[in-house]
Amino acid sequence: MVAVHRRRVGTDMIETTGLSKRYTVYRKEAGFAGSLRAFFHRQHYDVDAVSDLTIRIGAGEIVGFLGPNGAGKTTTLKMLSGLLHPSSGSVSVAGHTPKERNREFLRSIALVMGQKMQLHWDIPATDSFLVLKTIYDIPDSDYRARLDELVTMLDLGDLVNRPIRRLSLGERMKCELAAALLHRPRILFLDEPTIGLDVTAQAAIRNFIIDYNRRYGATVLITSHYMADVTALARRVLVIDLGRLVFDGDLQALIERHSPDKILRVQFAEEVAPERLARFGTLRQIDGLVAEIAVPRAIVARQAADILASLPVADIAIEEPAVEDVIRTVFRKTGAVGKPT
Amino acid sequence: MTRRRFDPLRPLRLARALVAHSFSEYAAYRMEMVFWVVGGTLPLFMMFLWIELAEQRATGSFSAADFAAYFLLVFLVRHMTPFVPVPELERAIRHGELSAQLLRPLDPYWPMSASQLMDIAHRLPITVPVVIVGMIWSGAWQVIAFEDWPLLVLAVFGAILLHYNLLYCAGLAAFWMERVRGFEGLMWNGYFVLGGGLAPIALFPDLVQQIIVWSPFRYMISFPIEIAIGRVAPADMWFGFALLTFWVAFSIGLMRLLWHRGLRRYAAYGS
Amino acid sequence: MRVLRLLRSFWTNALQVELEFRADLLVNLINAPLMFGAGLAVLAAVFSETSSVGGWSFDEAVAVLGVFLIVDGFVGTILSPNLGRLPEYIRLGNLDYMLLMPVGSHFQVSLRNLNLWEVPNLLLGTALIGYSMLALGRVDPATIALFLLMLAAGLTTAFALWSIIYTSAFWFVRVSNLEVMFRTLVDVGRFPVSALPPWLRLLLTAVLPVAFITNVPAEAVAGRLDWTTGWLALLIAAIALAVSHLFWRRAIASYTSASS
Repeated sequence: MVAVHRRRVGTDMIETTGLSKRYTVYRKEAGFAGSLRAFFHRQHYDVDAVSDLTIRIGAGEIVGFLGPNGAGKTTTLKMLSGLLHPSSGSVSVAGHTPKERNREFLRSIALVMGQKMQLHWDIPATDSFLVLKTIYDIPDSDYRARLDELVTMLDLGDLVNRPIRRLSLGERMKCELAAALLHRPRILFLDEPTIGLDVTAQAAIRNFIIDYNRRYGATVLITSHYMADVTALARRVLVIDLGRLVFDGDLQALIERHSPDKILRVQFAEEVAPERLARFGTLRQIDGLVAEIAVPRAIVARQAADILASLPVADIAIEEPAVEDVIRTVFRKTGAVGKPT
Repeated sequence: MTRRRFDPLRPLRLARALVAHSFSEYAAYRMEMVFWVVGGTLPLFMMFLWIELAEQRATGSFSAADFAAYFLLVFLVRHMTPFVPVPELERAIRHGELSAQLLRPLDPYWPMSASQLMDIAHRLPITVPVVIVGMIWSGAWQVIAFEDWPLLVLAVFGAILLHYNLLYCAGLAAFWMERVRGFEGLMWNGYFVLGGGLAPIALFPDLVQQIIVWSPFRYMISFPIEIAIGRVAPADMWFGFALLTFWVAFSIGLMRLLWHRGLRRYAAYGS
Repeated sequence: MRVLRLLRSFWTNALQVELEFRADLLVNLINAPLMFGAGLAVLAAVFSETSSVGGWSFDEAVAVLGVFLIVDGFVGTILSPNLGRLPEYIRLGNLDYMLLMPVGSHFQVSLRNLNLWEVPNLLLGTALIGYSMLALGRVDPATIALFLLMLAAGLTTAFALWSIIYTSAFWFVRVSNLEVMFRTLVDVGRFPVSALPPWLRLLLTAVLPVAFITNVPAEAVAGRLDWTTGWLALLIAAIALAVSHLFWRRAIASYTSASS
């Protein structure tokens, strides 16, 4: 895990109060009859994509934004970047109101969407960069220096001179990141930047984000389906479900709150009957000589000592439960109380 | 391994599913109907222009009623000849959406054809009444050669096939070219302007007429209308249908050829 | 000037893209003469029945066709590759990126690209105007200046109409029919509007200012332009441009992006 400095200096970079977004959508039943009915009469109903979101993010923080599909992550990012107007509530990003989209604000942010490209498909990235250079009024000298730096940081080499359509998905995403960062934004919104990439490419992008954050103290808000992205990048996470904030705080605290247990992984020297393990905790899994036992945090040390004393143990380890499992628990809990829309 | 038995009902079932799907697609975009109703009215504008011209002068080969009948039918045929395949194919081929379609045990040609048929069908309830009212109002129904209706049906069918397949070929060119929208403009100028959409071919200068008669353009709009208003001489009828058949066969052949060659290229190129 | 720098950068970039589409040049090299020939053939067909159409002689009507070709070339070089792609921008999310840039979004959506291969139409249209001026014996600086002014007004009006039509793509997802609609109206404008029945003439001048796009510049060539019409053309261009911009702002305000 990478230690990320949390600089809380001065005012907050991102600040929302009671932020909400309501969509009106229409419903159609499947099949021909449904189409016909929808043709003449449409049933409209409201969906609260985001409701009453209040968050504060300081300058230089990297914050992970978690939630299942349709939880409202992208809607929130779009409101923070000024693409969507909130239905109610207030937003302030770098001291600006995003929906006014004034130039100063736009120069200080970047939004990268893993599923949407801004670079032109048919020409090399550098040709598109030149347009961005004019759009963001980047002086020649700065432009050269920044491009060289980004090319090095992202290990792009000659890729920027090839037509985008000839690049792999991972290479394309690296070019997209370079494009988004040429104007050196202070705030970076990343929406699923690693989606569809292989493990190596994901790691490269993660390292780059950390690097960029360190060098320029940029504030980063990142959504991802890949838990590894979040554990590697962010110490603080926001968990959102059905448009509501259900957790805001340290990743570690999230794990402790929603998973009161730790996992004891024990390697035995000889076969041990499962019944003999029951008294130490909840047996999660036993596979030959290896057993996983969930034990309440408070007594984990005592139980470990007890196992060592009473059973033929070859090796023992105390582990945190996998973040995926914890998050799943969080969503299951909120899902149960969440209202159907 | 068992070979799948030939199932005579499969095409029917497929057709039903495809048509139902296309319908729900169209129903989802109901507002756009307003636009195409206005968008397809060029022939009607031309009708008024030509009627105005015909009334200003004493003699001529076309009377006001002739023009009315001619352009009302151009309007009808125009709305029966589809024009979607070029951009759709271009997108599917260039952005790799074709890959998903290729995984299905059905040539993408058919879903698109179904969608085109639906397109045609959902226009008829608006176009046919307009044509009928127009014919009665202008008295143009008197110049219609009703007795030739079997030939007319055949010629309209041929026009649809020819037009659709030629456009499909233009779309398939996307396998080799990065952008094929240019062909749309080419087709428009060819079939609509030269094919009789703005003026009856019979009024063009002789040299131009002679070229058009051999080109596929005449058979995409003008030919069925010439039959409907009884302006094709019996001897010319054979010639017309022979050429129509030739061009339809040519367009289908070319379409299949481009499809197979293109697929090989697509597979090698990977997208 | 920032606008000029941006345009230079945009169009240099667009040219780089266009060079990837060399085949387009070929298609257009066939298309432009075809369109030119077809336009003349239709005009010949019209004049085969009569010697004057709506009070315009053949030589004068050639100027209308010339303006029509120029307008069509303008659509091909500027309008279609920009505003014409708006539905795609909305669907694929490019618009989101454009909105995030510190450049006016209407400006960027309208002038980001340039399709050079459509230029042959512009040239052939200009040639027809030249022919008409020669045939009518009206080659003088005043006529040319007035023509250019009216053409600028007409193209501005055409741009504004396109912008209004395509801006509605924010509400109607499938807009391919919109372009056909516009093309229809401009296609009618390849003939003198005065040849149409009065009610249609009214429609094409008062309701949809097609007459001001193709006919008025040709009137300047043929020496048929009166002061009122001239001023009206300028006024309409200004109003249409303003309306299109306000409509765009309105659309952006209610824009709710392709996915939630």
